[in-house]
Amino acid sequence: MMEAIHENMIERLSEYLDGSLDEPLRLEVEAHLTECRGCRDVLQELRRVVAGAAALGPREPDRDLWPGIAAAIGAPVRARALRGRGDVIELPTARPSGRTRRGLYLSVPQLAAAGIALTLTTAALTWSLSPAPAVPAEAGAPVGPVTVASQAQGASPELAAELALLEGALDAVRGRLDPNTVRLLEKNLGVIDRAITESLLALEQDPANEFVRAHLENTYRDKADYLREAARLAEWAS
Amino acid sequence: MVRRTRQDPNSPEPVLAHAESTDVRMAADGDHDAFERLYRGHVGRVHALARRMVDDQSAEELTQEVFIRAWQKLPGFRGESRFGTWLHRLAVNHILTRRESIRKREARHETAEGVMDRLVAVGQRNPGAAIDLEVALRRLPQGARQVFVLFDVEGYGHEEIAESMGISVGTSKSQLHRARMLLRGHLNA
Repeated sequence: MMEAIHENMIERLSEYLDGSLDEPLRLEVEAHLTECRGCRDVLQELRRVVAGAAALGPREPDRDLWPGIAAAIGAPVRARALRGRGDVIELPTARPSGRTRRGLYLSVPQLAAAGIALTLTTAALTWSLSPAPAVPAEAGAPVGPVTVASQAQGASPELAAELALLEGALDAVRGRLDPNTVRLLEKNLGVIDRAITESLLALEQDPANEFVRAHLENTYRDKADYLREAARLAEWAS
Repeated sequence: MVRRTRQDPNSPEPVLAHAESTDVRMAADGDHDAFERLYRGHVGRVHALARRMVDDQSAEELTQEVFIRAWQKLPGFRGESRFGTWLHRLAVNHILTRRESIRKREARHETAEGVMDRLVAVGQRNPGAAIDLEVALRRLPQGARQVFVLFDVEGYGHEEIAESMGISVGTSKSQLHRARMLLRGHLNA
């Protein structure tokens, strides 16, 4: 009998703590608390849990999620390699002036297929692809179609393989994509590729420059992020 | 009804609030730069909510989805509440809408060992009492965890939680109590 009363009281401790018990029940719980050390201890521990929860603050994600969001909403891509100098490359497109441009530009079924293909083939291809040296495109050159041939010169082998895979997945569906989506992807990738080209040219002049080398690697990562997130978000949107 | 017993983290200083309202207007008109600033200012809170409600990988996805939804819906934001409050409400609704599909995916892909490894890794990265609670939180059953996060962390009332999650007020209360008791046990272990 006493055990049942005790259990019943414990069940009410949360509501007691929140001040949501009506008066008779509140008085009943308080009377029990004066007699029961066990319930007082439980109440104290519950208070600690609630106080701990109230103290929990914001938590930044472990990686920057903006590139994926930017890809999905059609925002221009900035080349990270140039951010520190304050001369950010921006796409030469007009800023959207109306609300009709909202929404995903990505042609969902085709890119979803790319995303699925990517998932299925990653493990098999990552180890088998070996990056070959490639001649960098000239800075400012027109952006061509995304092709597997645009090897990631100067990137780590793993990253180069990943980029080749991602580009290949995109290439596989390119012909079936909505033209607006293709234009957007190519423009954004063109911005990144030009930043890569600049870094490669800078490295050619100063091969020992670790700062430029790190920026090059980061820019390749930006490119991989962009390709990966575009495919994944398209898959989600479907 | 939303309990607002905690200091509202969506209330920036007046000067910042003015800058934010300008960004909100600009973003609603299609300005990506303004929207990126809003993203930078609010991603921590949205991601924290998502991370406490679902697993790490899903939390990143949901965070991105929330901001994409926000971009799409921003023209309809009339400024009747602060942007942060509006965004947070949108985030809660989106996460709750997606929770069933997330739960199924987590069940398919997560092994018990994987969960424990991740918990250990999280604990090692982030020592301290508050993180102990974060780790313990992730051991809770999904329903209890989500009610606890919405009530004790985010300050929502049982009525609103019940409505959002499609459960009764009584279930919300019992899930909250269950979560607190389990957390108490985890933290004392």
